[in-house]
Amino acid sequence: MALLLLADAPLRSWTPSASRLPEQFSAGYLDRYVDSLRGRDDLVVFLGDSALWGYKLSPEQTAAQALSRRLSGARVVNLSYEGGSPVNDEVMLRFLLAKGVRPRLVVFNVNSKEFNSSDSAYRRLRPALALAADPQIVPGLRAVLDMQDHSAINDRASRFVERFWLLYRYRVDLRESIFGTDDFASWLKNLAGDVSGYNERYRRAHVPTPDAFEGTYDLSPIDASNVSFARLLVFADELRRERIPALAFLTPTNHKLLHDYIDSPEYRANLRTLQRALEARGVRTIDLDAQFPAGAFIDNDHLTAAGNAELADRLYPVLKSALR
Amino acid sequence: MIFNTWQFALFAIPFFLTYWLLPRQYRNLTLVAGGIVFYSASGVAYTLLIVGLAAATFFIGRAMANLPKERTRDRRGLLTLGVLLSVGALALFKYANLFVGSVNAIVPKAHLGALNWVVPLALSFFTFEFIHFLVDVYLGKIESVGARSFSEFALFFPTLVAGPIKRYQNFEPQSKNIERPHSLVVAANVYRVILGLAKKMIIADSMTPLTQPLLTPDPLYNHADYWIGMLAYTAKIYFDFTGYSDIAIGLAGLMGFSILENFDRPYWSRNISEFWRRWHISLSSWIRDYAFIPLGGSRQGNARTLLNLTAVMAIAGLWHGAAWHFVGWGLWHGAGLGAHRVWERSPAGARTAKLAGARWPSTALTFLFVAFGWVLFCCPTFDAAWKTFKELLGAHAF
Repeated sequence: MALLLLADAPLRSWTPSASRLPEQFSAGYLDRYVDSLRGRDDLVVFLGDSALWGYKLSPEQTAAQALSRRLSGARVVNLSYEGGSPVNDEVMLRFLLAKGVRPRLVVFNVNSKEFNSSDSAYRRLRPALALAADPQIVPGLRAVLDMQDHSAINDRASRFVERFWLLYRYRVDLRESIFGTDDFASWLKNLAGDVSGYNERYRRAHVPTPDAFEGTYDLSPIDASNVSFARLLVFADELRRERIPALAFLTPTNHKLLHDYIDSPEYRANLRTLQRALEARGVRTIDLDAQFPAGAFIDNDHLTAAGNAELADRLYPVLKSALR
Repeated sequence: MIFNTWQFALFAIPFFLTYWLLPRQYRNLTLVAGGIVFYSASGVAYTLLIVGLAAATFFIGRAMANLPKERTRDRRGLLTLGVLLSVGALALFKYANLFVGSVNAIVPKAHLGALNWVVPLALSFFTFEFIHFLVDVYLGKIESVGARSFSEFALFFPTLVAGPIKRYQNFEPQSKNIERPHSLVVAANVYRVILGLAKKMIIADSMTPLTQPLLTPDPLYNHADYWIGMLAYTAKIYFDFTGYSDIAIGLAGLMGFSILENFDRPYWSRNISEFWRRWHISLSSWIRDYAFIPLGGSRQGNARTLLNLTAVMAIAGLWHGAAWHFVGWGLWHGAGLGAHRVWERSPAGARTAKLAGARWPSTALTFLFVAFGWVLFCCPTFDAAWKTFKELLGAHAF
């Protein structure tokens, strides 16, 4: 037990310096990571979902990292994550501002699937963000969110212990850094899957097919009653109020794969609604929705390494001019 | 309440402080109160069940102990009543739905309704302890029956969830003289608790995803996946169960009690009889004393012995869970024990036992027999188990 407590000493002096958030991150990690950004005036903050985070790619292969290498005089921080959505972007921005972090530029993706009320991130915050940014979740916002209940005695006790035992607070982050995945169990499962050949068979059997995305995109007209849209507008208004320049792009989407579901006037109309609403609030918005070939995708909206490089190429001139 | 939760930590810290800081005369009271609080976390209604059943068992046991030995008929009547109460509670809460489901499957027109009751936490463990108590009072192995000692025995929270199944004769003398353990003993028991938590949370829980082939059918799984699944389950159940036992024994030690060991490196056994002397020792000795021996044990010829072995192992299987595949697992072991008994008495068996190099092959064979048995334990249906067996043996094409 004493050894476990002693392990806290190096953790106290540790500062996260990763170029993007880990796949699994704790509230403690996010808190500390954002703290480490305070006082900088060269921050280009990326907010968004797994498409921007770099699903199934190493950090070096992501568009954010490619841009980081090319943009001199700016520190690119990728605060996007799997499960991101407009409401997550809004709360993350509030959290950054409350912590005294003022980005020089915010870059975010707008993914049309997140305006579907059945999307898991439609009204749900990533748990770590919900915990870390709890004071920033104003009552009006809380009312529309699907908040996880953390009042059970086990949750309360766990949070209490996290306050003074850092090794426990950062357990999720440490597990990921040690095993390269969620935990020891996932690492073992991957190893066994490689040994038996199951992982390869699974990959071959689960090549994305259109029917896997049935119901992912909602083509009914987007209006103010849509929670994601309403929060996107609040987010854009907040950026304008804080005078933080922002650049948005409509997430590249695999139209060849999703032809049956999204190649329709209703879908285009919804994208136009999103783009106009953002432009009206001073957010320059680039339409990259149908700009990438099918070969640039892993599935419906996640780009390959080459696709990410292409995305970086497209964004670079706009970012360079925005930072000028 | 489960040991590897913060809820338990919140209970245990004030409990141990109260237990050791209060004057000695309050320790027993603290122990009983602690047991009630611990058990109530899983439902107050079920606390009434365990307290009620414990009270009934105690009064029946005391009435039996107070009757003269010559009044055999009255004593036997009390024993029957007490055992029926425990078995009845077990049957009602744990096995009623199995009965209903089986009747509906055999007679589809019966349309019996399921009870859908939650099985009270640790019901199987405390009913077995109560039956042991009543039988031993009847046999005269327990002579003095005190309310204080019995209430501590019944509500002793470290062993409440997953055993070991205690014996009253071992427990009672310790409860009468609870001494503060030496600091080295405290350290050893804290280590035991941490070891148990590590076994459960790091090793056993990490094996769970690997056991999926046994639980969820997927045509993508092949021969190797099933072998990994079976071996992972073999490891998982061992580390899970020994982990709980380590925590229970460590906690008991911190309360000044010494509880019998429940495992003795069972996967190193040379034969299946030895395995059952080293696996879940408190259950196997209970089965031996209160089921196998009363049925005649091995004193009534080979055929009857084999029948007894099969019957008691089927009961042991059913004790583990209210489903027929658990009975199948028990019968698998019953068949193994029977086959071993026949083999060790045969000339070939006697010769093999003397061979110097027989140790490792027999240990490996026993391990494989046990591991294959876990397939019946783990798979939710016989069909799933049969499919798994075929995959394991490379006979899936047939």
